[in-house]
Amino acid sequence: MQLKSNTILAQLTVASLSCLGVSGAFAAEWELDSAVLLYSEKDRVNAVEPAVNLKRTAEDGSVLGIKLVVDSLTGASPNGATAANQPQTFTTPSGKDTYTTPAGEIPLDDTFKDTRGQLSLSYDAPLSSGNRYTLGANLSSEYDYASASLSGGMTHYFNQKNTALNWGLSLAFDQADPVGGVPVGSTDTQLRLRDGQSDTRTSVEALFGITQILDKNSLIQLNFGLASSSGYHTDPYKLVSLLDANGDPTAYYYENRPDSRLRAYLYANYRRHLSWGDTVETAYRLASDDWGILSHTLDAKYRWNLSERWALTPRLRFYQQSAADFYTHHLNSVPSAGETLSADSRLASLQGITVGAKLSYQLSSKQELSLRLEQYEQSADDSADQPGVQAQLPQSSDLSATIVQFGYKLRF
Amino acid sequence: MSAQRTLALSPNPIGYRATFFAMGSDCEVLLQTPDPTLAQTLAMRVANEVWRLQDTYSRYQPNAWLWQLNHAQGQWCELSAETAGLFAFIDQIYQLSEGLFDPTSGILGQVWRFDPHAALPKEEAISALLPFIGWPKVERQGHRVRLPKGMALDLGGLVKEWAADKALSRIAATHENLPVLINLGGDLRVSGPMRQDQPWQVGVRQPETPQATALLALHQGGLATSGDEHRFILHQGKRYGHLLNPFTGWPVDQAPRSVTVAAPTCLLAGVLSSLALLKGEKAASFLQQQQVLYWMIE
Repeated sequence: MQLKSNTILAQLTVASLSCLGVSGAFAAEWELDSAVLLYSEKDRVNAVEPAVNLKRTAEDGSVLGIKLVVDSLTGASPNGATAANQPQTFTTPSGKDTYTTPAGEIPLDDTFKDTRGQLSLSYDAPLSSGNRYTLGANLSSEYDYASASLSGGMTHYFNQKNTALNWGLSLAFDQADPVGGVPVGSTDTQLRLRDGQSDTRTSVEALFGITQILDKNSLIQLNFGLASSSGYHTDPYKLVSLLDANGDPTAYYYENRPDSRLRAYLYANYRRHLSWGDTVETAYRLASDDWGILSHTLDAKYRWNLSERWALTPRLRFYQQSAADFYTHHLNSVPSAGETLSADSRLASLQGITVGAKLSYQLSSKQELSLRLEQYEQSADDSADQPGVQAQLPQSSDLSATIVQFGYKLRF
Repeated sequence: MSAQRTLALSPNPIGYRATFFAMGSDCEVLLQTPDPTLAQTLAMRVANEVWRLQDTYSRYQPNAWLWQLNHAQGQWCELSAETAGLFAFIDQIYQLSEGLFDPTSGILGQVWRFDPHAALPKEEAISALLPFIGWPKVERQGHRVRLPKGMALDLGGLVKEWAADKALSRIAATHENLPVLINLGGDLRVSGPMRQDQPWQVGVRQPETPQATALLALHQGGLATSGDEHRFILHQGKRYGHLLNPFTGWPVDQAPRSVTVAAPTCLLAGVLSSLALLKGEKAASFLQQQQVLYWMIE
C-alpha cells in the first residue's frame, strides 16, 4: 500500500520526528533515603542505627538500589537465667571474666556490645513483555556472626496492570563464631563443653504474592511465604536456670534449639486513599512454624495530611505469639543429652503493643524530613505456676522500648 | 530562576492531580494511579522537564540559552542536539507555510502594542524592522548557531506544546501503560485513554459563550490553542489581531481570534493552530483539509 501524504499534517508528522521521534535523553533519577534510628529498651539494650538507601531509576525503567545499615548496640541483654532471691554470678562467654546479678533482678549480660554492618544491593528491571524481574544480594557482618544471601524474582502484570503476581526465591548462608567457641547445648555451663569454634546455617525461602487494584482509590496485597532453614539456630549466649523446689537456682544449662525450622506466613495489606486526601493502611500477618510458634500481627496506620507540607501518621500495632514447644522458663530437673530447650523470652508466649506516630514535613518538592516516635510494650504470661520464690520475682519477657527515628529523603 | 518551583499533589476522582507553575501558566498533571508516591515521582519528572525547557528557551530569563542567543550581538552560540532537532522541524514548518511561520518575526512586538485603545505603529517603524526578520538568515554550522545582529528568536508558539510531549515521554520511559494527562496552560497531551478505554474529559472554550466550556472526549494525542482573543487594536472600526505577517509586518487580515486543534501530538496541534491563524480567512478550509478536529473563535 502506498501512503499519499498530501496533507500538511502528514508532512509535519514526519518532520516532527526530528524533535519528538526519539525521546530526549532521560537523565537517571536518584533518590536518597537516610535515617537514624534510636532504640532504647528500659534498663537494657540501646541501639543506634544509621541507614542510607540510595535508589537510581534509569531510562529503561530499571531500578538499582544500594542500602547500607550500621547497628551499634550497647547495654545489657537478659542471659535467659531467672531472677533469684540471692546474688547470682555468671562467667562471661569468653570464660575469662565474671559478672554478678544482685538478688531480685533479672540477670543481664552487660558485656553485650556489638556493631553490625549490612550492605544490600537490589536490581529491578522491566522485560520487553512489560513484566519485571528482581535480583538481590545481601551481606551482613558483626564480630561473631556473618550472613550472606541471594534472591531473585519476577512480577507479572495482568488485566491492564490492575493485577500483579510476584514470586521469588532467596537463599541465605549464616555463620556464627561465638566468643569462646560453640557451647554444647543442654549441658551444664560449669563444664564449659565446646563443639568447635563456629557453626553454620543455610536457609531457603519462597514467596508468592498478588497485588490487586480494587478501584481507583484502593488496593489489596496478599503474600504467602515458606522458609526452611537447617543448621545452627541456637543463641550461644543464652542460658536456662535449673531451679529447686523453692525456686532457687542450682545450676545453669546452655540452651539448645532444634537444628531445623520450617516457617510459613501469610500477609495481607489493604490501602485506601480517602476522598479528603488522607490514606489508611491496615495489615495482618499470620505466621506459624514447626517450633510451635503461632503469631498474629495487626498493624494500622492513618496518614493525615495536615497541610500541603505537613503530614501526621499515627500507628497502632498488636503482636501476639504462642511459645515454642521447647521454651521453658526454667528447668526442674537435669535435661537429657541433646534435649531442645530455651528460656529466651523471645520464644515465650507473649503479646506486644506499639503505639506511635510519624510526623513528616515536605521541605520542597525534592526533600522531606520526618520524625517517628514509637513506644513498644511487651508482656508474657509465664509468671503462672512458678516454684517457690519465683512467683514474686520479675520476669524477663516484660519489655518496654522507645523508638525515635529521624529521616531525610532527597530526590535528585 | 523562579522561586515558586513547587509541586502540589492532591487526590482527585481519577487518581492524583499535581499542579505547578511553569512557562507563565498554571500547569497540571493527572495520573490514574492509586499510589501517591508514584504519582509524586512521575509528576515531579514532568515538572522538572517543563522547568528545564523553560530555563533553556525562555526569552525573559537571562540565564536561559535563548536569552543569551538573542543577546549575543551576532556572536556564535552553542547549538545542542536537542535544539538542532527543533530547528530542523522549524525548517519544515517554514517551508510548508511558505515563510508565514517564522520565529524571527517576534521582534515586531517592539512596535506593536495590542490593546483595544492603542494606536497603530508608524509604517516607517515597521519597515525598519523587516530586514531583521527571516528564518533562513539564522546561521547554523554543526554544533553552533548565530543570529545576525538585531535579530531575535521567539519560540513561544512551539515550546509549551513541545514541552507537553517531551514531558510525557519522560513518564512513558518507565511507565508506558500508565494513563496520564499533561496540561500546560491549555496546551495538553494525553498518554492514551484511561483504564477500561475511557476517554479523558477535556474542557474546550466555546466561541459564543466564552465562560462556558464544551466537554471533549479525548482518547489520545494532544490539544493546543493559538491566538488570544483579548489582544487586538480597534482602529477606525477595524479590528487588528495580534498575529503578524512576517513579510508585511502587519496583522494577518481576517484571522480567527483563536483556534484550538486536536492532533496526534501537542506539538502538531500547536503548529496546525498557528498555521491556521496565519491563513487568515482561509483558516477553516485549511483545517478541514488537514482532517483534524478543531474549534475556532472568529
